[in-house]
Amino acid sequence: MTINHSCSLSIELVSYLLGEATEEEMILFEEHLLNCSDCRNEVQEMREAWNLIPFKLDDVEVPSELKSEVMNAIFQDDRSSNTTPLENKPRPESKLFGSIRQTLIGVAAAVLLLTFGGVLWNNFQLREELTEVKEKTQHTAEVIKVYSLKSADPASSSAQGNAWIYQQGDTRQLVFKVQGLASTQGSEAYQVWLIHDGKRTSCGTFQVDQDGNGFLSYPLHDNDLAFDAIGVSLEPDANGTQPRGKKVLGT
Amino acid sequence: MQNKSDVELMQLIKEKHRPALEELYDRYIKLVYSFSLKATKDPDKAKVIVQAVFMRIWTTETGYNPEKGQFVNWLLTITRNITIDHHRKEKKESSFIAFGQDQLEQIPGYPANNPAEIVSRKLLREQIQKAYQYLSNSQIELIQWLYWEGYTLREIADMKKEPIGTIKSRLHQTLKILRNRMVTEMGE
Repeated sequence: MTINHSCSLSIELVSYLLGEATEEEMILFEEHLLNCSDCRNEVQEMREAWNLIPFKLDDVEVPSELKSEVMNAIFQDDRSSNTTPLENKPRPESKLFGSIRQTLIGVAAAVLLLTFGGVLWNNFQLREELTEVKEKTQHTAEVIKVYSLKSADPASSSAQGNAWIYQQGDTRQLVFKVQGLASTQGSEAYQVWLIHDGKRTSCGTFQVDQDGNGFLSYPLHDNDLAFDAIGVSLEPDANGTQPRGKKVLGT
Repeated sequence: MQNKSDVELMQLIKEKHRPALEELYDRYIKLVYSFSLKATKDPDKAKVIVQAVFMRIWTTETGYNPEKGQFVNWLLTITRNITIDHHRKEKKESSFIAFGQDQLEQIPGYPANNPAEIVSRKLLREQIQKAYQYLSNSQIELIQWLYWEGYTLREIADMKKEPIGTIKSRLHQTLKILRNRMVTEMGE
């Protein structure tokens, strides 16, 4: 089982494995891996070991209410629209590419991998990883923070909600989904506030549907990022710059 | 839904098919929840992470690519990234350098011969626990910081006041021991 690894780079491969290498280093590793079978084995073995780590977990009981909480948060807005608000329409070429890939994946990929084995696969995959790293930074919305919003008056209101900060490329967006809020009367509106050092900045207003569900998304600017808490208040109208009504939800 | 493969479920999820997401949840919630709980040691925080993981699965554009390895490894990488992110935000360590989530997510499991396919998860766990007995305290600590708490090699080197080369070499050794013990345990 023991292979004698004489290659001086083999230890450095851990940076590559963990994605801590720079792009230049990644390219160097890629070139090296083409020529060094010891290191190819090494990377593959370390990956296997790395992927094994989480399987050491003990079995735990999952709270039974968790499923409905998760599903409610995801689907509460989906009754009115069929897509999530943050989802970009796929570009035509990527859609085509995607469907071709889908068709080929099951059969061809397996055959390819089995036939050509590790050498080709490693290189192919490295290139693709590099490409995807670049592509993903442009197009994928990453959740970078999640907040849970709770009713300010739990005794009389079952309102709750979540807020997420998504990062997509260089832009960040704060997205709120709330449920269980009372319908607004007349000009009333719900307003979302970012609270920082006691100062409140408005993120905009929203109305709720007849079931009490509401939704708001807000593009975050750099100077908005430092906030300590989020609050939602019921305002007499949608024109306020500071809260006038009572708080209904908060982090 | 129950006879669909993970790949099929992910395709349906991309088409916004709710029952597919529910099925995927039922299949993997135990793993995702245990992972989050182990990493946060707090049931409330674990729930927030579970929420974010399934939201991410629902909204992901690039999705899971079966060429990159097993679905379970993709899922665990997402879970780990979200967990680490959560850790970091919580610590408010603004000096942290971004960890390269995208790159991390691309760390695939090698599709062939993956032990997860060969033995059941329970058996696998017992075997890993056995393999852990061959690790030194400093090796176990390294896995704890690196894998579960999401520190980078550089940060660990700074914390331990050791050269980064030493840390890299320790990780290299640790993964080799784990891997070789597992292979031995499985009688390959």
